[in-house]
Amino acid sequence: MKVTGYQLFWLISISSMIMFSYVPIKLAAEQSHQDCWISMLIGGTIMMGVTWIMLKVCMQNKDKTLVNFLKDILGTVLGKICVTFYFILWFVQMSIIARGLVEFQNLVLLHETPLTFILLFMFFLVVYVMFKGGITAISRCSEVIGPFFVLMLYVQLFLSPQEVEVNRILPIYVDSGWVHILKGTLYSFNYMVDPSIILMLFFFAENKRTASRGILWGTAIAMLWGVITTLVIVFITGPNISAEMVIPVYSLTKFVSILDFIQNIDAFYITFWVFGAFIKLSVCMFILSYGLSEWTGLKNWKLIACITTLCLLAFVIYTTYDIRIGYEYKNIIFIGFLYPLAYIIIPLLLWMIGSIRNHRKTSSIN
Amino acid sequence: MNRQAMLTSITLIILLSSSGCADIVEPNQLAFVIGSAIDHDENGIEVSHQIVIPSKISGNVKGGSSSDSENFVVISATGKDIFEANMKIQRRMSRRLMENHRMLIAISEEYFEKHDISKLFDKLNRDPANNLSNISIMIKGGRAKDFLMNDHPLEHLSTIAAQKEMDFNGMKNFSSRQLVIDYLSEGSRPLVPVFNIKESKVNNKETKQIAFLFGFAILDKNLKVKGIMDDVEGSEVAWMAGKETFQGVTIPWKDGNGTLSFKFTQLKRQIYSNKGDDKNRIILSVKAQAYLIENTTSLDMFEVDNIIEVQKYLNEQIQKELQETVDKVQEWGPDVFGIGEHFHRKYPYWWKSKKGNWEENFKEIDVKVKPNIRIRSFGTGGERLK
Amino acid sequence: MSSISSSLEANEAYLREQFNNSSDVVIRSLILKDETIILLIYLDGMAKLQSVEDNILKPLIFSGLPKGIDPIQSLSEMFKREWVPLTNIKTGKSLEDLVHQILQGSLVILANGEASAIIAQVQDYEKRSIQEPQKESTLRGSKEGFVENIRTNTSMIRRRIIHPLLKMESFKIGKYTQTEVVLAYMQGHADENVLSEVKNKLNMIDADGIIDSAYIEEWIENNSFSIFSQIQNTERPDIVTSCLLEGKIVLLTNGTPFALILPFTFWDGLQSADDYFERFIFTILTRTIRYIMSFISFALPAIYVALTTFHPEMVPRYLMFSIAAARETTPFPTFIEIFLMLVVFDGLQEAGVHLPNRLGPVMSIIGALVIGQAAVEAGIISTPIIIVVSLTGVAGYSIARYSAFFPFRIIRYLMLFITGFLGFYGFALGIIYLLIHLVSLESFGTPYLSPVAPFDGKRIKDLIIRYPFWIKKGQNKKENVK
Repeated sequence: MKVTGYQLFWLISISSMIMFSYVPIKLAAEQSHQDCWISMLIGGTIMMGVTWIMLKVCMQNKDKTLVNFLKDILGTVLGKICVTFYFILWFVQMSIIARGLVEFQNLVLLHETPLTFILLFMFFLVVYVMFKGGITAISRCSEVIGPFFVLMLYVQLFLSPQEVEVNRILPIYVDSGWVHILKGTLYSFNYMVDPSIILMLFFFAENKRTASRGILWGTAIAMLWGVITTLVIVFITGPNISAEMVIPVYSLTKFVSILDFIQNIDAFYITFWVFGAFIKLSVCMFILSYGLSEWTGLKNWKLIACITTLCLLAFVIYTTYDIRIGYEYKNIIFIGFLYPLAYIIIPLLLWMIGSIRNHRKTSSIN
Repeated sequence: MNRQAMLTSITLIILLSSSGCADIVEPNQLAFVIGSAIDHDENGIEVSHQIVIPSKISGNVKGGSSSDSENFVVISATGKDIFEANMKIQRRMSRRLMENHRMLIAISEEYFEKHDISKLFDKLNRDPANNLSNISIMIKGGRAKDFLMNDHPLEHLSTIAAQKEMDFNGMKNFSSRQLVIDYLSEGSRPLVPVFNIKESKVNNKETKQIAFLFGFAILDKNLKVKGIMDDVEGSEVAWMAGKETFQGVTIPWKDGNGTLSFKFTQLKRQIYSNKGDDKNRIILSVKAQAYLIENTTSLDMFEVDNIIEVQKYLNEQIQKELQETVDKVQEWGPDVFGIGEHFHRKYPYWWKSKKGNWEENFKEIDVKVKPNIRIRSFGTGGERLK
Repeated sequence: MSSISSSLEANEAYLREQFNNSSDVVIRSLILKDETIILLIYLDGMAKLQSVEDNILKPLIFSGLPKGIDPIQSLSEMFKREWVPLTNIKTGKSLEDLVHQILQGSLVILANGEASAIIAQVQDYEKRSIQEPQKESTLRGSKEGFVENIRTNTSMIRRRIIHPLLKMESFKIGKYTQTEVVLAYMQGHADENVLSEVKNKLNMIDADGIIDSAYIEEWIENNSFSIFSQIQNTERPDIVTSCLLEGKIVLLTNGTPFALILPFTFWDGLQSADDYFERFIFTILTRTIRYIMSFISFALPAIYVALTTFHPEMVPRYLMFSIAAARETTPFPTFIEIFLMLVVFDGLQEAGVHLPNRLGPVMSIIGALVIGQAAVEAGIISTPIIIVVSLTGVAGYSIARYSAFFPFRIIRYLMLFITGFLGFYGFALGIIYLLIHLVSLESFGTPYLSPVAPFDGKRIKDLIIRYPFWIKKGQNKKENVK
């Protein structure tokens, strides 16, 4: 199963934009009001840095996936424990997106249909794509979906120019101050882009150089979209309303009114969002099941995919009943522990150990 | 493997039918709400919806436009808050209410006095079935429900008539969203158009009750009405608040003989602060392009001297009138012009000290109006035809 | 394998037994001057009798053994040297072979005392002349189409590609029909892997009979359960020629004018030969319209149902009122109405296909008037639905290749079902399902959706823009994208 650099570009940009459109903007706008775009910019730069570090780690271990090289570098036991953090991270991300999907549908499109059915169909499609071709099928789908999705998300930002008033973004910085801006960044940057999937996908790439270029471009495009979106939201609604909207991007589509003819296009936008959510869910599911199969040693990752899907289904349905687990984006465990660990600490560690080893190897050869 | 996948997919498709088409709503099971009205009632609030009957309004071969029956139906109910009233209305309806196409919300003056409008906004923001792009207006001197009950001689529905009236007369910036933004921002106060219902004779056979634009209402921080301006002054206020796009003005000439009428387009306004320490001085500059429509003086508008003089005089007159209006509004208190927002953006630290009691502090600001009106064209005639 | 015996009686007895109830097999014996008996066996109606009479019977009867440059002493020498004045001569060694050859229309000459036979290919039978293909007509371009006889077809291709690299390999497939199948390709242009795969598959076919190229198509295609066909079929030699030059492989079957071309991608199904014969700017326009129309042909009923029943807020205000007004009096839910009208429309289409030519226009008028108009007036069907269904049907006809149109007809129903249950979400799910299926489908090693997925930058412009012919393209060789 091979993935080309171009396909990686679309995979990364779609996954990142999906995550971006769902959670972070509200978290940042709550804290820093009209300066949330600064928080976004800072958070985005941090994430680009994280992506770069992860790419470096991957380049050092070109022919192994995350599970294997963690085992190599940190030893079997410690490696396996560290991998579980990543598994938890991916599982949580998938449940966030799946729940977001279900809530969107229930809220906007289908009011009466039971949630289980909505989830069931989506998961059926995810399992189907696993069986049909694994990552090649997913990446080819993303090549087809990608241009439409990205175009739609970008175009939607510019569809209501008559509402834009650039002055609403002023005064810069004064109202909030550094503390609030950084707090906004802190809460939101974890949800911005999705670099951890690179760690697994890099192994499948054919040409490593084009792959890394594709990944960097993908993250850059998603970041750019995030910052522009935040700016546009502040332009259109001003600082006060944007802090109150739960999913600002969705509310943006409700304002569009072209020639008093095309209105209320939010249902259309949600359809595109479903495409992106599908890609994200399948990529994460593939990574998770492939990683689990390497972790446990079972060769049949397709079977593991089925089982994991069922677990995820059960988990998401459970979280709709138990509200607390479902809505804790600002949970201290996540922000203080899991995210920094997965995104910053472990990659840095791996990079350092890897460079030390390489250094030792080259010096021992000499 | 293929066959198994197919079988599972077929079973799932069959499962689909068991979920039932729970969400299908046929168009003829929907009641399209075009306008809503909110009135005060002893129990709390009375909500009315104006619902369109599509077959009468569309150009369908079968429906046909009959002049006997109306194009709409008004249903109302009372309750303690909006949601309760809405629920009662839904219970009385044989169809599901669909509020996404709503164009207008009309609120009676009484309701403004006795209740807090901001509670309305929460429902509009939260429920995704609404959007904030409808217009909010105030009804003076009557119940908002009566506004909905009347029909209109030209348009199908009074709501459509009101929305079109505002649209064609250049008032495009009065949506609910604008109202909410103005309400939430500390530096400006909302401005709401006011309609009232008058009886007028449309032809020899009928006299109808029609709602016309009466003026504009100035609201303060708590969304209480501080004052209502009539049409002329109100549109000047709207111009200075940056909300209007064109209007017409008539000025009398110096010697008292005759008047000049202009149409102003491309209305713009900008707020400047003087350079210097005194932050209390503001220059409100207004711009427009004027087209001469009617000339009943004896001036020949083709002469260059005349043109220059007329332009100067026009600017003076406008300055006088607008300044009067601004002073009047300032006396009342609320800053509908957005001067506070200007301070917020330009001198944010100074603003922090002032914003607490902006109603009072606004009165201390010295606002000078500076018009900059250019005469664009004179039409096709030079001198008045005698 | 019983070999030919020297005794003519034994041979004759065997042959008579094999053909004992076939009245069209003619066995004619000839006694030569030196008492040698020659037996001529042929199939009446398939042999060119004139040439048999002129070249074999007349000389043998009137002049005895053929004289030629050297005199021939005996019949056996004639047999050994195959000295019969006809162009296509073989020597037969076994009796089964003789039977087989007689059935194919050859003339078999047996002689007393000879253990071999001469087989002359004198086939001549009635066949259709070259006409314009009915199913695929273009505004500009050649009007020739293939016929049933494989020799004529191969000659049509040979006349267009005059180069020794054009190879034609022949196979005989089918137990009872022994249909001749010719595999044509340009050596060096076509992919070796694909060639060997096709040859293997052809050799593995174990069928009773091959009546049409469709039989072969189903035997060798990758995935018979998919609604999308992985092999293209065409009646036009100019399409075959251009495909051969692109490096594709062509299969011609005896008995049918439809040639098979493989590998085949999704986008090839949406092309038309006209694209290459008109100016290239028009091609951009027509191709764009064709893509939009293909989307409409399967998506419009589903989108209409989703918009009016699930999401009426998306429809502009006054349009929604018109639709709602039209729906006031109709008894069926929208979904059922559209489904019924689609079935009726498909039924009309099927009826039109099988009608004799003269009834065709009458049928369409009846269909339109009676069903459409009367149904609306009776208030059974609402007018917007008729508009939607007719637009859908007409959009389907913009797809140039008729067989590429079938998948869309089925997808139309599937999308309608799933959208009818789940609104736009269902529509998105349906499209994703289709996409997954298309993306993992392969046609002889080429992914079905290439060059879109996996992305091939050089070829993707070709989907919409057809560059003027004088611009040199990348390479003509097909790379195996795997």
